[in-house]
Amino acid sequence: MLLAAALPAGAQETVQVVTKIIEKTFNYQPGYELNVEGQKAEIFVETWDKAQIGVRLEISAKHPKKDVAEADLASVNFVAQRLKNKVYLRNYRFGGTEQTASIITVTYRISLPEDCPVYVKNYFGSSSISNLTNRLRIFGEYSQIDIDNVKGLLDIRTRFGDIIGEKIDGNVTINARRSDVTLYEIAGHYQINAQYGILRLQPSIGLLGMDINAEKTEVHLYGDNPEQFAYTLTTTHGMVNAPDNLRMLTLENTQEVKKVQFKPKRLETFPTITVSVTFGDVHFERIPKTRLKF
Amino acid sequence: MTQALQQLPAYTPPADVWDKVAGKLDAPAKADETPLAEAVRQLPTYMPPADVWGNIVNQLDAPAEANETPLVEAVRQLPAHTPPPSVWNTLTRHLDEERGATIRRMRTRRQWMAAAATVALVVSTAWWVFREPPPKISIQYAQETMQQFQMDIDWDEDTGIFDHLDQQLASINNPTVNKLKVEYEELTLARKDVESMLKSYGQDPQLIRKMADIERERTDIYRQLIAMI
Repeated sequence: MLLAAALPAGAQETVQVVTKIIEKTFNYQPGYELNVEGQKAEIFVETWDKAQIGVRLEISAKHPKKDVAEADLASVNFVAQRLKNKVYLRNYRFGGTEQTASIITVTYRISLPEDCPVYVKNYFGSSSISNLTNRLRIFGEYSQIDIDNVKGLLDIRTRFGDIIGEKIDGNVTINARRSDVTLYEIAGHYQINAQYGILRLQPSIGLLGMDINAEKTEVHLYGDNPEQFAYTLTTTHGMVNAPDNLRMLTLENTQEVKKVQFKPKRLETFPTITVSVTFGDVHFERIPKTRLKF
Repeated sequence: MTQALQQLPAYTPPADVWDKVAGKLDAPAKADETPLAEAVRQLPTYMPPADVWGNIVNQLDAPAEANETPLVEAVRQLPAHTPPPSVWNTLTRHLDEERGATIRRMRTRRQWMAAAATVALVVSTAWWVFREPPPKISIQYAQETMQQFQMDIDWDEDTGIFDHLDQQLASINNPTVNKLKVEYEELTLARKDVESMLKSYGQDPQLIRKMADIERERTDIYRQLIAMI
C-alpha cells in the first residue's frame, strides 16, 4: 500500500490481460451476407479464396487483478450465428451503464469471399475493410473507417468517425457528419454529403462523376491534371481557390454566393465534379510527393 | 334347508337293488322293439321291372333336348345385331384408360417416393456439407506493462459554466447564436455517449482521445458563444 502510494507518477504498472477467443467458420454460398454489429470493436474484414466466412473474435479485459479482469470479461456477450442467408456477428456488454473496473477491448478478424456483401455497424472502435467487390454498407458512430481496394456498391454513413479510403471504384454514397473524409485514387460515381468536417478527394482517370454537398466543411480536390474534369463549384459564405491555368467561368458572384464553371476544351466526354458548399471553401491542390498520407 | 338335509340319516341301499334297476332299464327296450321289427319284416317286397330304370335314364337324357327345342327356336328367331365400331372403340378406350390410370397411379406413387428419397438425400448431404460446428472458445492469460492503468480525469469540471451561460443566451434570439447552441447541444450529447462508453468499456486511450476531440470542439463553440454576448 505504502509502496503503491510512493510510486512516482508515470511509473509502469503490470496488468493482467484475460482474453476470450471465439473462432467460428460459416460455409458460404452466393446470396449470403455478413452482418457485423460491433460495440467499441476493432473490425478487420479481409478476403480469401475459400467458400467460407471465417471469424476470430477476441474479447480482452485488462486489470491489475486477474479475478477482476475475468469477471469483467464475463460481462461482455457475443453472437456468432447464421440465420437463413445472414451471418450475424455481434458483441455487447451486459449492464452497459455500470462502471467496469477493467479496460475492455474487442477485435473481430473476418475473412470471407470477395463477393460476399458486408454490412458493418460499429459504435465506437474502428473498421478496416479491404478487397471486397460486391456491396459494402457501413454505419459508424465515433468509429474510424478504413477502406482499401473496394469495388461495387458502397453506402457509408458516419458520425464523429473519419473515413480514409484508397482505390475505391463503384457507386459510392457517403453521408458524413462531424467526420473527415479522405479518399484517394478513386473511380466511379460519388455522392457525398458532409457537415462539419474536411473532405480530401483525389479522383483518378476512372472517375465517372462526383456530386458533393457540404456544410461547414472544407473541400480539397487533389490532382496533377485537374483540367481533365469538368467542374461546377458553388460556395455560399466561402470561396474557390483554383490554379491560374484552370480558367473558371464565373456564373454568379455576389457577396454571399460564388458560382464558377470549367469544361475541358480538348475532350469530347468528361466527368463532371459538382461541389456545393455552405460556410466552407473549395481548394485545388497538387498531389504531395508523399502522397496523401494521414 | 341345507342344515335339514345335512341332518338327514345317510342310507345305503342293498347291492341287488342296483342290479334290479339296471335289469329293468334294459329289459323294456327289447320288449318295445320286438313288435316294430316284426311288422317291418312282414311288409311285402316289391321289385320294379328292369326296363323302368332304362326309361328313367332315357327320360333324363332325351327330354332335355325335347324341352329346349322351342327355346332354341326362339333364340334363332331373334334379330342379329352388330354394334357399331364406335362402341368397341369406346369400350377399348375405357379399358385402356382404366389400365392407364392404374399405371399412372403406380408411376406417380413411384415418382413421389423417388422425389422424397432425393429430397432426403439432398437435405442430408446439405446438412453434412453446410453443418456449422459450434464456435471454438478458448481463454488466454497474459501480462502487460502499462504507463498508468487508472487515470483521474475530471471531465466535469466545467459542467456548471454552460448552465450559467444558458440563462444569458435565453434572451438572445439570433440565428447565429441559435445555430451555435444547436452545435453545442450536439457535442454535449456526443460527450455523454463517450462518457457512457468509458463506463462500459473502461478507460481506453482511444476513448479518452475521442473525448478530448469532442471537448476541444465544444470549448471552441463555447468561446464563440461567449463572444456573441
